[in-house]
Amino acid sequence: MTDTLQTPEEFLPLTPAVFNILLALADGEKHGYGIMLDVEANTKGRVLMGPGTLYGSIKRMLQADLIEESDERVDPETDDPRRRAYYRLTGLGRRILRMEAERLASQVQIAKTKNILATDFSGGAT
Amino acid sequence: MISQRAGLPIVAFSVRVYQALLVAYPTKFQQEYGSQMVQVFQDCCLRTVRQGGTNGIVRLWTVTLLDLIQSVVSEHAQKEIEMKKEMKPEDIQIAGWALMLGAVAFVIGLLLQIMGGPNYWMVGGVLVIFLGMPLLVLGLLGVRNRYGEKVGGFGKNILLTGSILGPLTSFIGFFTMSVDPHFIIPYVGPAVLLACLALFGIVALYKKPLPRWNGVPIIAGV
Repeated sequence: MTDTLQTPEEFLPLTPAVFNILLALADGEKHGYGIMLDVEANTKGRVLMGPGTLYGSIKRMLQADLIEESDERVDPETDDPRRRAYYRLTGLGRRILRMEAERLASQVQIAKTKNILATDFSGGAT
Repeated sequence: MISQRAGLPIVAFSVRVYQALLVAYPTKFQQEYGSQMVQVFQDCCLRTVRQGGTNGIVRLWTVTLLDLIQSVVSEHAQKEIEMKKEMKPEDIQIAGWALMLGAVAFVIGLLLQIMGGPNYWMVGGVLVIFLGMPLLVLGLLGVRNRYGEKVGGFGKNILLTGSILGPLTSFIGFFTMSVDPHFIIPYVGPAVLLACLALFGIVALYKKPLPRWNGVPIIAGV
């Protein structure tokens, strides 16, 4: 996910970590811990991302211009006085996220046509 | 880096241990993200203690250690890829010249020792060998960077072993050379390094990583 990847299609498929981080940032900027909590909530605790994986992915996503650092400030929701770096999606990041979501949706559609999933699929296979 | 919130001894201790473990990451990564990672880990510790008491800390550490091992390996691999991209043909040429000059310095140093003569010849010989050592290391690392991928794990690791073991042996030898049976140790350093180059040369004969003259590394090593 560096300068060798030119077109948006070449980013796909995304790794689970990158997809989940992009998804966490889809509804607004967040700091590292906020992203971690969001990923945990979105995946119902199935994806537990440690600080190493989180910041390793953030580093590569910054390099690939999928996300950008918005600013550094104190989180008003915690009593921690330290400043935190906030990250947000770039235009490219949002586009890649949409493309990956569409790709996954089409995979799910195929699974449905092959009767792997119930047609009224709502989170669990029957 | 650790705030007052980490007042709980178990949290403060965990954060300090985690902070110490961050040295395993490449320096640049550590400098850029180390403090943020510690902050996130501290938040995780506090939440775990709030939710599950101190027992939860054991589970958090298990997850964190696995994450640490995996991401350390990944970051070092990434660093190596970046280094390779940054290495220009001129750098490889410089590494090649450094290797040759280092080898010449080693031979001159040895000749000065063998020929005997005044004391300053002997001292000069040791000095020449010591000055040649960084050149040999630079050369070996250059060869590893350029051709490491093509020769597989053994070829790659033997060059790294030589780059570490060679200078280390000479360094130890420098402090023990006044003791009679140990005077030889400083010369063993470059010899170890060049032996590793020769071993790489054997692998190079089979795998042929160079566009031509694949016999050169073994000749240079020997």
